[in-house]
Amino acid sequence: MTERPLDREALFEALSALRGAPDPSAPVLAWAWHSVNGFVDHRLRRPSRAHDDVRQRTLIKVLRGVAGMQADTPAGAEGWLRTVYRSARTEHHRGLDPVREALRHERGDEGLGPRVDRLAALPPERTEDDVARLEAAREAVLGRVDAWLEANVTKPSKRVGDRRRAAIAWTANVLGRDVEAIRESFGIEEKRDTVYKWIERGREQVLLPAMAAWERELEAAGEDAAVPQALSEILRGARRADAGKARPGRRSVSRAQDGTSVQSKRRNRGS
Amino acid sequence: MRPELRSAWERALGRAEAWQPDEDPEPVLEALALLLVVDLTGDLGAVAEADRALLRDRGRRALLSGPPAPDEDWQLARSLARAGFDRLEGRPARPPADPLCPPDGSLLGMLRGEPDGLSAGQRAAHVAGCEACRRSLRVLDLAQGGGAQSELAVAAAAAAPMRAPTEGRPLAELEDPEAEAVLFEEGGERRLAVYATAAAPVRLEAEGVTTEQMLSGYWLGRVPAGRDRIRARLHVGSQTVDWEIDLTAG
Repeated sequence: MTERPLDREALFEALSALRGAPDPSAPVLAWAWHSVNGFVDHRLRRPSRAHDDVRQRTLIKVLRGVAGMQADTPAGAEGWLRTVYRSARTEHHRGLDPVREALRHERGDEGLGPRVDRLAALPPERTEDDVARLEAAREAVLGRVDAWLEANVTKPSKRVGDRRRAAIAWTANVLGRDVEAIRESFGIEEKRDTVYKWIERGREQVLLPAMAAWERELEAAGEDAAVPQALSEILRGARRADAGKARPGRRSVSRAQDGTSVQSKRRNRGS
Repeated sequence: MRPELRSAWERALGRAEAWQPDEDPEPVLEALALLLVVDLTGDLGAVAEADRALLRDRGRRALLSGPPAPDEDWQLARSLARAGFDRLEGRPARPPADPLCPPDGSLLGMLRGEPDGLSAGQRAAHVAGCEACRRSLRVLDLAQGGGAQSELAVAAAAAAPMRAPTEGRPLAELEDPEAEAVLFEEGGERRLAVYATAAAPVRLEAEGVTTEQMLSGYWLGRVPAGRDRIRARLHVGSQTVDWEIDLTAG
C-alpha cells in the first residue's frame, strides 16, 4: 500500500470507519488501520527510540476505544488520536496511568483508608464500572510486576513461575476468587494446600516487593504513591487474614462463604 | 518474521546450539517456548529445516533432563517448552495458559521475544486462546501490513466481497487514472463503488461520504441521502484527481 502523508480528513474517514464497524480488527479494515498508523508515524512521531512501542500501544488503545470516540469533525478526530497517543506515551514511560485512573474516580479529600476499602470492597457487589477500573488497575499492576521480575529475577524458569504465582495471588487477594475458581481459570489440578502456598508466595515474594519498588520509585520522583500503597495495604490485609491459621482452617472459612474474597471475609469480620 | 522476533529467535537458537547435556537445559527450553510466539505470528513455516533438526535433537534431550527433584517452576517451563516442541513437530499443543491478559507493554515485548523465551512463550500461550489479545495483534499487523500482502489478506478475509458493477448503475468514468463509478441503491441506502484498472489502493474522499470497503482496485462507500452530486477527490495509488460525480446520471 502506498504511503503518503495523511490529512485530517483521511484520518477522520479511517477512524469513522473503525468506529462504525462491528469488529474494528476485521481484515477488511486494513486500509483504515494503515491510515491511522501512517498518521501516527508521520504526524505524531517524536524523535525517540520509544516511538515504535508507543505507536503500537496507540493502535491497541484505538482498537479498544474507538467505539466511544466522541468526534464528529476531522479536527476532533485528530484531537482524539493525539490524546490516545499521549496516554500511550505516558504509559510507556511510567506505566501507571491506568491505576491512577482506577483510583482517581475514588479520589477526594478522604485519606487512604476509604480508597483501600473501596477497592477491597469490590466483590461481590461490584458494578460494571468497578470491573472496568479494576481491569485497568490489573493491567498496570501486572505491568509493574513484569518490570520488577525483569529487573530482579534472572532465571527465566523462576520468572515464569513467579509471574504465574503473582497472577494467582492477584486473583485470590484482590479479585477475591476462591481456590476452586482459581483452579478452574488457571487450568491447574494442584491440591488446595499447594494453591494456598502459591497465593502466599505470589503475594509475599512478588506482588508486595513489586509494589514497594513502585512506591519507592514514585516517592523518589516526588509523585503521589497512593496507588501502590493502597494495593500493598490490600495485600497485607490478606496476609493478616491468613496469619496464624492452619490451612484447613482457611478452607473451612472458604466453604462457609463460598465465592467471597479474603478481603470480604476480613471486612465482614471487621464490621 | 518481524525483525525483532527474528533477532530474538536467532539468539535463542544460538544458545540452544551451544548447550551441552551436562548443563542447565534452560536455554533449550527457552528456544522451544519461543516457538509458541513464532507459531502465533504465523512464522513457524519460516523456520529453516536445519534449525528444526537442531531443535529436535536438543529438545528431546533437554526435555528428558532436568533436576533430580523438579520444582513447579521447572515443570511450568518444561510444559511451555514441550508445547513449542509439539508445534515444531506439527502436533497440536495445549500449553499452560494463565487467564489474565498481559499488559500492552508485555504483549509487545512478547513479539520481540522479551524478556526471555519462556516469558514470551508464556504470554503466547495466553494470547493463543484469547480473542481480545489476538485482535490487538491483528490490528498491529493490519496497520503495518505492506501493500500486496495486506491486500491479499483483506481480499481473502473480506466478509463483504467486492460488488459486481453489473448490479449497480454506472455513473461516470475517468481515463487517467482509469476508473468507473457505480451507484448501488438498496433499501433507501446508497453506496458508491469505484473500480480502477490499476492494482492499487483506491480511495474516494468527499463530504458526507463514508468509506466501507477498500481493496486493491476497488473502493466502496456510503453516500448521504438527498445529494444529487458529489465533489470528490479520488486517490488511486499515488495518483490523486478531483472528480465531480452526478449521482442522477445513467
